[in-house]
Amino acid sequence: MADTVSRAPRVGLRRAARPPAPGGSPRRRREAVAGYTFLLPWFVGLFGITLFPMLYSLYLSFTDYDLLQSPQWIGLDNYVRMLTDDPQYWNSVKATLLFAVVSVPLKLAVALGVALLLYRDRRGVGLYRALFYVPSLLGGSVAVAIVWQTLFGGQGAINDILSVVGITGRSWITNPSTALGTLVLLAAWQFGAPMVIFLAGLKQIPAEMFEAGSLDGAGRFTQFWHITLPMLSPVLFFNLVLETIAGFQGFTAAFVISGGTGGPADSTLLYTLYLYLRGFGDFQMGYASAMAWGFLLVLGVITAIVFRSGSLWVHYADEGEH
Amino acid sequence: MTTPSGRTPSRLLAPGRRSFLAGALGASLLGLTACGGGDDTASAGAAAGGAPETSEPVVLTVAWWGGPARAENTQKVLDLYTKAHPNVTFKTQWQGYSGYYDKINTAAAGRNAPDLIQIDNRALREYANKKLIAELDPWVGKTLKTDQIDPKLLGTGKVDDKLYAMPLASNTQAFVVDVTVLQPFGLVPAQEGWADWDAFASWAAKVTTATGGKVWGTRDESANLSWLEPWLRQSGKQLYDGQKLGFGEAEVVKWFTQWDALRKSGGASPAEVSQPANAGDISKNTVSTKQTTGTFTYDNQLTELAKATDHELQLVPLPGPLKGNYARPSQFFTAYARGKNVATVVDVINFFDNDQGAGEALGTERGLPPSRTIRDAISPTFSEQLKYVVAYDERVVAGAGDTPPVPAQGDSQIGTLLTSAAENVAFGRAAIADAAEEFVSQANSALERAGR
Amino acid sequence: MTTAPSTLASAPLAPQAPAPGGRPARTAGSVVAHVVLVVLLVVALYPIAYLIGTSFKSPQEIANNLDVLPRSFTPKNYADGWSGIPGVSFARFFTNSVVVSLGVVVGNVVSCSLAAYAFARLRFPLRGLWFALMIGTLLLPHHVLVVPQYVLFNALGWVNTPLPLIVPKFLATDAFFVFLMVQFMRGIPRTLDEAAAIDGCGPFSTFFRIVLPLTKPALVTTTVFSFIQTWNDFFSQLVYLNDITKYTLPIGLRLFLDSSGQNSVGPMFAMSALSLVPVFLFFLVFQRLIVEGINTSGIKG
Repeated sequence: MADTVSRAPRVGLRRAARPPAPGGSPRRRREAVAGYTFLLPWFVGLFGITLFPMLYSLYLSFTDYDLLQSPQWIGLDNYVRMLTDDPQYWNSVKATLLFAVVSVPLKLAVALGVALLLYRDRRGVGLYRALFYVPSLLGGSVAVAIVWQTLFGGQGAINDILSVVGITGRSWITNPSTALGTLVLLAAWQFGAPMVIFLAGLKQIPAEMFEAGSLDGAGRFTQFWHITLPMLSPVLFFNLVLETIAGFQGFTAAFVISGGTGGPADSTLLYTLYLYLRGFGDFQMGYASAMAWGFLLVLGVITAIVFRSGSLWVHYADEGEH
Repeated sequence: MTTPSGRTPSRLLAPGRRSFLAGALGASLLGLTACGGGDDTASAGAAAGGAPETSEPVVLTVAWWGGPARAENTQKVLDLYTKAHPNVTFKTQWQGYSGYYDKINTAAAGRNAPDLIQIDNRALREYANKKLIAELDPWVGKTLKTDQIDPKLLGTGKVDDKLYAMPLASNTQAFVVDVTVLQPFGLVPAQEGWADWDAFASWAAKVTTATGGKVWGTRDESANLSWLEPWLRQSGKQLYDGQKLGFGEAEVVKWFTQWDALRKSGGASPAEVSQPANAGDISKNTVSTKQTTGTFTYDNQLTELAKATDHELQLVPLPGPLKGNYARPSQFFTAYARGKNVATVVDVINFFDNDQGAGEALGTERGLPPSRTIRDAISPTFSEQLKYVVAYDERVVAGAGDTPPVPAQGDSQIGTLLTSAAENVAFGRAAIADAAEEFVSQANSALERAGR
Repeated sequence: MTTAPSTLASAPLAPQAPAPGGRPARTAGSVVAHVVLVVLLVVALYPIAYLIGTSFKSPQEIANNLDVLPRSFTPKNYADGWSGIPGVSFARFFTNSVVVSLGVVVGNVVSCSLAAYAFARLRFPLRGLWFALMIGTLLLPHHVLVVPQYVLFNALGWVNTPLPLIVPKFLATDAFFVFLMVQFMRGIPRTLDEAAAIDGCGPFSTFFRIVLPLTKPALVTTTVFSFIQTWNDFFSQLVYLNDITKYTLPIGLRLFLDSSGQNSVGPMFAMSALSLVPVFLFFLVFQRLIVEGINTSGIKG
């Protein structure tokens, strides 16, 4: 690992060594100007498209705004309504939490499992890897959501397959107890992307570690728990963060499969879907903004927790022995 | 570009500068919304009461909801209009009912709603209050002829005594049955329907038993606001009392209990089967999907339903006294207030309502023609099916109650709330009493917020 | 450990480490693993096979779900589906999707490479802060921004046009690709930059003549991922496009789904399958790159 810059933690660019610039000060100034010039589009994007809209939506969250007339200041009313007077809001929170808490570990577990299997078997890895990745590629599309809806419907293929084994299926998507389950399955089906990352992470584990382990007489499971997992922990962490964030933002499948309603009985009413329905269906933009900020705060807290916990269990190879 | 003192150009974006820019951007953003919301008067050239444009080429966007049959008819009428007024051409937007108003609202927010908008009485008050649709009174008697239209029907297009919407057609509530399935069992209901709910319930249970449980008598309609309303009226209540609900928890409990009993007896389809149709899309109608032998419908929808299935269908009134029914304005046509050619749009509306060729093309797919002359002129040319619908409508409306006033603002949310509550009960996720209580309280909150 | 550009195209296999089990996999274990993998693969790819198979089934056969392959091959579904809904054919949806996706690709490639060069190669005050902010936006759920962005674009009159979907991409708002390119550029030896500087090249020429050409693999990755993401994007397109004639494929498909009755499963599946073809093609051609691309951004030493 020769390049010092890449070894530094992502955020600490400032710590990178600065070789004295040949030519001295004017060149440095030119570079600074160049730097900001190159970044100009990004600045416009950051302030215009990201930061200001964020602040603006904070303002809107304290108003009643339907886009046709000016925003009316109503103070904390939106938040109060959200938290105390909107059963559908809590239904959406429940559905989203349930969805994320089940689908993310499931997806990661399958991804890791398949990666381990593939890692054992050296032949044809490339082909398997590519094929398993296909669902990730296509999974977020409307087309796949349509297929899913048909597959799990009352007269869908899943029920026909189940009937071969003697199980009478029901309509999985119109029943509130199982509708969310079909979405979880759809999410887990897209395990290809995290799997690819796990595979790459596995490949990087130095052989010596396993040799040392087996010399010490460690069995397969011990090896997995004490060598593989810790060595994989940075990758696991990365996947966990990404998948958690993605998991909370599911929209397309819920929308298509429930016909845009979040039904049946709000069982598939994911948070972002409810936000859309209130904001763009009813044009209660102030309320939707309040929901958006609630979402941001909660997701921020969850991400912070994951990051915090990361310092407990993520083991970086260059930090020396565990 | 350095200052004489040699300070670096990064001062250009020094903190002070940056926050100034930030403030400026922010202020302009706020300013954008402020002016985004102001209401300007209708654009020039659409002076209220003015004449339609007859020489300059005009392109009007038209939006409606419905199925393929309606799309065909409507297109025919638009073509007829273009034939008579070659300078006017149309761009059409149509889709299913669910999500229709989302689209219109979005377009309106972007200040480019379609010029000619079909609405129903659910949105009338809201659109009128938000000045989205033009007041039509200035054109009455001139471009817009209303003398042939039943004044009671015409009245349904008025908000606070001002005419905002022209009824395109009238319809009334009905229950459609699949005769092809019922005939062999001798279970085709009589033309007058059922005298009361119990008779209906026992019929439905019999049907399910007769078909061996494969086809249910009726769809579970507990989520259907369109049936709740006439049912309420049968016992003297109303859907709305001004900006409040015209009924209370007790009625809702009774409503849910009734349907619960039907589900338990097998007469009504189970929740899973009924659910997809709750959003209101006619393509999911359970009679056309052959899952039930009966379902709620508006009488004009027979045309669309008959097209979707090869079975023979008939209409009977909803169970109970006829006075629950009423002559409904099935759809209205309205003119977008901020459009550029409001006068021409009004002329098109007049064409839809008063032109004989238009009447013939539309048939009864939207409902009965609102104009007496048109109705009399074209009924003889109707197909058997259309004649049947007209006959049904006239029969039922004769015994129907008064047409209620325009629904309260926020009415569209009440339907969704009812669906939520009903689905929770049907799937066993909530007790009837709890669901009823939540529905009523949420509905009242929504109405109160909407009325602000 | 970031991989240098030369290793991007053909990642050398890691030294042959024994399986986590500790010893070379025994044949029996290997066979079991194979079997499990194949079963998993069949299950994973079944929905896709089902989609394609059903799209070719005749209406009578569609009810019979157990045969993935149709007995009577019915390409007519494709013709029927292509005519779309009355007034608008799928050709229009395809065209719109292509326009939007290409716009996004160009925007991303141009703006993200500019920003990445600044972060990776240039020194300027507060670089660290801006970089941290950029990483922060990666974690920001975009649904939070959609309401105020909508208000903004509405005021600009851009609603119901593809502009809100394309213009932000010219402002490097996709931090993922900026990050990807930064990682990549950091792997390009600085000696080249220094040589150019000695020759008298300023930052701009260094960027255009030296760094950018060497960043090609990352640019290709950005192109592929941008295209695929935009092609499949539903939410933003749903919010901003109102006229049927402006609909892109995802929303066109959904409209088709809503307005079709029981009898249109064949055409609907046909169009769904067709909509996935471009993505799949991109995948076939760039498969290696896609998968490696994920690796480059994913692995942190």
